[in-house]
Amino acid sequence: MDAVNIALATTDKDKSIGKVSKFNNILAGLLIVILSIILFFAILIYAIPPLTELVMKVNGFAPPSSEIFSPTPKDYAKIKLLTGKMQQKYVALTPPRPYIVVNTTYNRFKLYKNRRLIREGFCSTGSYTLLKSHFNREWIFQTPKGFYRIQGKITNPVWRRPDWSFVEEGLPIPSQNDPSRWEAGVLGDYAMSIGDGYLIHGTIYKRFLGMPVTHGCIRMNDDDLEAVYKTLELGSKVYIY
Amino acid sequence: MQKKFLKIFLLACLPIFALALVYFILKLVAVNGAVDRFQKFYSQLDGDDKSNAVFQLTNDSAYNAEQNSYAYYHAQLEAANSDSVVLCINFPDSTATLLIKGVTVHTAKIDRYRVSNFFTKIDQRILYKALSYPFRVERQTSSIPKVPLMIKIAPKDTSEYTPDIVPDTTDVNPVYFLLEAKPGMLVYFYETPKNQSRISFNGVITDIKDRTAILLDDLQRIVHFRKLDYKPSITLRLNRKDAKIIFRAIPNDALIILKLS
Repeated sequence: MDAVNIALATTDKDKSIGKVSKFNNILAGLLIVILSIILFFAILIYAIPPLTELVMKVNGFAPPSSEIFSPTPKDYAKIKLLTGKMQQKYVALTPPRPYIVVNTTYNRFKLYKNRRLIREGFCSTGSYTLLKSHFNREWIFQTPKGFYRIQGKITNPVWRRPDWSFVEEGLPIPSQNDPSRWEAGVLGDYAMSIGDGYLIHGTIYKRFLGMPVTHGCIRMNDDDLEAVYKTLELGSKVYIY
Repeated sequence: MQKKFLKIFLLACLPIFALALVYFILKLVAVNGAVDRFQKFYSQLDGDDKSNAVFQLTNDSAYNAEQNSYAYYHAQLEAANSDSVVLCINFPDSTATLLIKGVTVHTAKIDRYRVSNFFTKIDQRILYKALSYPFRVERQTSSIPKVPLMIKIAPKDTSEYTPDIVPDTTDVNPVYFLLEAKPGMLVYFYETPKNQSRISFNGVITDIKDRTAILLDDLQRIVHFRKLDYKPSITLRLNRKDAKIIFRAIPNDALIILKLS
């Protein structure tokens, strides 16, 4: 009986060992598959591109000897002349007259005269707000990027309020000649137009200078605005990026 | 038992290496195809007679330097015809510059860069011709929005009106972006981690994503029995601020000028 019990116990033990062993095999097999897949993708992503680059470097362009050009002093002189002319044309693109550069990402401006930086400071540019009204009209408040010119200069400007300024306050839009369209004292002492309704002007919200808070115009503090106004002329270039 | 699994693992690696070798060979074939396409594209490009006359195939480094400068200035003058912001990457000076009508508006220092050896396989004359014109960007992808638009619904009346709150100008999002330019060139921009010796987790993840995207495209082509595509890549590392400025400044179809050497 004991011998039978021992034999049965041994068989059960063998069965359980067998089950554990089978489970271990499956686990190991799964691990191998996963590791293989990871290795495969790692090779393709990280080993193949540099190997490709290495082969390209080794097998670079091999020019046929008949086509190789040996420059003479005359050829040198010719290419130097052409490059020199190109360089002169390129340098001439930077205006000697005053111009201003505005950085809309970090709200900074730089004023140049005679191709030298004479002033820089903080400004405020468009807030990238999309204002949606309840009557299918919308406005996007961003400062346009690119090349512009000063098209107009004015002192003590009075703001002619556009429709969006009423819409964003929940006010009804008045007629074009309504007195409420005109607001003095909010644009500072000077304003310069760059076209399409965009201005460089002053602000009463000086604490927001350096932040993107405007409706598209470029706002500056009083001192910077005065310096910019007195430096730039009609037709002066404005570069906004 | 361990030896057995090791043996199985090694056996499993054999087909992996074999498949990797096949992929490698297909990739080399793709490179040659890309070289031919690039050369054909720029050979057909009509330049002005002066630029055609200038570029020669030579081993003279001084003459090559002059040719390079000529191509660079020519590209900048071509780009100056556009009113929009142009990106100019100068590898010898390690600078990335924004230009508008030929005027430098912003200069950024490139911390590190890597340029594909693809350009060493191109006929020099054709390469200089290519570099003498700006490349046009066809596609852009990035980790930050191009235009950080905020939508505001207008109040119905004055009772609903709330004055604008101070905008949140905290700058926490990592800046990585990719510009794909014609005729098939990838320019990757990565922000440099604050501590340059530290590897940026976001940078690693972005790098893996970029590489995986290329691999998946290749695998798709293999499955559909199409030729693999190779696009030479240029990778730049810049300060985060500069990377953000550059990405936000350039338009969707931006022009890129390159000076490789």
